[in-house]
Amino acid sequence: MGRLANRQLEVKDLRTYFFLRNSVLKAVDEVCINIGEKEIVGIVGESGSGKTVTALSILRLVPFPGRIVTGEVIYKGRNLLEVEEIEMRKIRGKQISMVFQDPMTFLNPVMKVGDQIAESIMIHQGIEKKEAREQAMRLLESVLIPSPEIIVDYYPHQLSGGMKQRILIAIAISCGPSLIIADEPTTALDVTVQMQILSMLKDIKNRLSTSILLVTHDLGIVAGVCDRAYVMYAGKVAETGRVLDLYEDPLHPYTRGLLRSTLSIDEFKEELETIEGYVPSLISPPTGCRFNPRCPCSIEICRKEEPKLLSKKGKGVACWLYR
Amino acid sequence: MLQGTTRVSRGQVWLKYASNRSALLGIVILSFFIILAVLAPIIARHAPFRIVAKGLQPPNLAYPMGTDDLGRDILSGFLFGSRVSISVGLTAALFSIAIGILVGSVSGFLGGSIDDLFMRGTDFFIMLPRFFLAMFLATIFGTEIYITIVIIGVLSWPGTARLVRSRFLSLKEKEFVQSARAIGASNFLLIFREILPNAISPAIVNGSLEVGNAILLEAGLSFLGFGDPNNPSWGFMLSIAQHFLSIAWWMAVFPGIGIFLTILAANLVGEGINEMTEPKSREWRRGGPIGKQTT
Repeated sequence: MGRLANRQLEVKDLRTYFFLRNSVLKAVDEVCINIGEKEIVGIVGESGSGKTVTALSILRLVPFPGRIVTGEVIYKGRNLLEVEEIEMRKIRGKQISMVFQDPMTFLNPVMKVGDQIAESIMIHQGIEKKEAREQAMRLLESVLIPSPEIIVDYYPHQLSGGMKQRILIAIAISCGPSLIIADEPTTALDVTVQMQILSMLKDIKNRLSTSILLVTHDLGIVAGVCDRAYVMYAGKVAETGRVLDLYEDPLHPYTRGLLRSTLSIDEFKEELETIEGYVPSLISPPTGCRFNPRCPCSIEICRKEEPKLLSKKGKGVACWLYR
Repeated sequence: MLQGTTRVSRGQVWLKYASNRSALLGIVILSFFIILAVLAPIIARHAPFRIVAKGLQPPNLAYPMGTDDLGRDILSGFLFGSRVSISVGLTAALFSIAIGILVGSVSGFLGGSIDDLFMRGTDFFIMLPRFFLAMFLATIFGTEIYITIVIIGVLSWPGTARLVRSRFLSLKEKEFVQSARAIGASNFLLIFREILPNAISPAIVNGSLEVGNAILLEAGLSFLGFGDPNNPSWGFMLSIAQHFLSIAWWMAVFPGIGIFLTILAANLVGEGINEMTEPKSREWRRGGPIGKQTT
């Protein structure tokens, strides 16, 4: 794991629960994440594994009835979970910004895209509208949008999905954040556009020296873009480490299962392997290790006690097989 | 999906509006009366209250709408009366939209106990008998035209407030609001810059229909003697005419036509805007949308 000195963001023991009428859904439970400077860190997992909620918790944007119960999000020496809401607003968009999943719905349909970019600049830098508009045009240019002086006056529905995603990226980088949280930024796009967006994110990281937290369910994207990754399962971190280590020598049975169930051009598979069963209900998760009902290597203790995340072979893994 | 996603150029908007013939008629009549009202002091040959001729003359060449019991020119009264009716109608409607939008948006956005409080207040105003309360308030506060405007405005905002609130309830959950939050937008910005432009079209439609109601309410008030005596309105002329209905029909008919036509026109315009913002209702009959539609 290393590089402890220059941590950009540190999430410690984060628990975000959703308080439903009669029950509590533990969407994120005891999650710890570190992001170093100029590092692209991935969070991978199936849907419902808590990866998006983790991302939203960092910015304190968890929707009702969700609530961050305990934990710390340390950013520049401050615990973001304890700062005032007004302070938090100054951090959102300026220091830590977010790129969302679906560019179709995350842009305001009745606002010109230029104004939407300018809005963020005006909120945080307090400059005049005219100047903000010029900055918006420069930003459009930097995300490779052709003829920005025309596009700046377009409404979202006049643009394609890929262009809209670039607008969202332009909004995210408008105030030079030190961390960008990208929540499945390519899920709604087709494969060729995915590549463009991902290489743009990489380029932004190098150009603006920001860190990026990339939330995705696509192992291929993690392999292609990320330096390190966290594999999440049922609201918990199952395994973490450098991407290369994770792929070459996965320790947790869940990570192994995930990797086996991906398709590859290089190797022919008669039938796609799957992980048996479903993601458990987070209202009443299985006792012991949350993966044990689906785990092929489950042993006695797995059903009784929850494994802690321990370091093993330069990685972190939460599994009883590695005690 | 959202009404606001229809974006076309100004010329196209006008073409689309004009393709609805009754709406076109409405705007023609309304603009005709607005022009009359603006130009009243120039076109009218006499001051509205001046006694210029023998009383109770039927319409003739010199006095196209006849004269009233005191020998005042009804055409001049009609022209000046349009000023009162139209200015009261437009400003009272504007006033009521403003209150309705403010209450509806804050209530819908904040939710919780503030929403409860505001909506119970709205229910209270809906429950009130509008006309009698307007009379009551006019008795207390007087009958000057601006007081009438405030009274009508204050009594007619609840419909708009409810419409705007319901739009806010669904819009505040939309993803673009979350993304605005993520760039650090305050509640004020979220309400007025992000959500309101998406929620405003039903409020505008409702407001344009409110214009007709306001004109009618004002006419009713003046008819019963709660009008501004210094600014003769159509309702005021009608209230004088009722005593001479059997011998001087022209005293009642012309102001009556004025009220009828302006209210009709205001409603046609309201309907026209409504159909324009709800494309489904009309375009199928007319063979496809004008301008680009996204759903």
